[in-house]
Amino acid sequence: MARISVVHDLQVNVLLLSSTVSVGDSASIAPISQSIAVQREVPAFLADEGDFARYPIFSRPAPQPIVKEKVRMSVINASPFIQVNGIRVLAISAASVLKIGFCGIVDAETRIKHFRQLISSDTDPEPPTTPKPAADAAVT
Amino acid sequence: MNYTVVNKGINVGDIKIIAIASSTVFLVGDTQIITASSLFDTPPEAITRGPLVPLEIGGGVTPAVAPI
Repeated sequence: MARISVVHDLQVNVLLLSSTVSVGDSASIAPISQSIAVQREVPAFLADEGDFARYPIFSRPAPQPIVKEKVRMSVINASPFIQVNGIRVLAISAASVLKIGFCGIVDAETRIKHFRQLISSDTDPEPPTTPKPAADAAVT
Repeated sequence: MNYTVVNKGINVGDIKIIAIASSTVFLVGDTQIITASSLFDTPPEAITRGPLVPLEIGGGVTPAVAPI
């Protein structure tokens, strides 16, 4: 039923944070990643900061597409192969999957909560930096 | 609805990818169902100004009491 995937050359430099390179068939894959992304004006971070339980984005159900029409899909595999000469990947991260082969069901989900913390208390943002007037240049 | 797919020969040369991230799936092969969801929360309140404070620790909706 499924076709045969042929990849002649595969090169992956970095694989991190629960990512997977999978060769072969599988019934389903369901990668899930959750992140709290904190950006600070001064890069000072404690090791045990943050708690997923505090933010509802990590517990609320993800909206799913509503399928109203029944689709009867038939597939004719005129050629039994999917051929790729080479794959080069620099990095795979945060519960991602590189898979060669059949996979019945893919159910992927990512949730990211952002924080930006600035020291400056100005409510009005600074205007874009313009070339300094000649007076300033004369001072230096 | 009837939907017929005829898969003829697929021959791809070279694929170069910088990064696959955040529960992404890169698949060379057949599949039946793909559901990919992505939830981001970046509200205006996410930007705070003033002294830098660490994120609160501890579960629940009630704010954690700062240790004395």
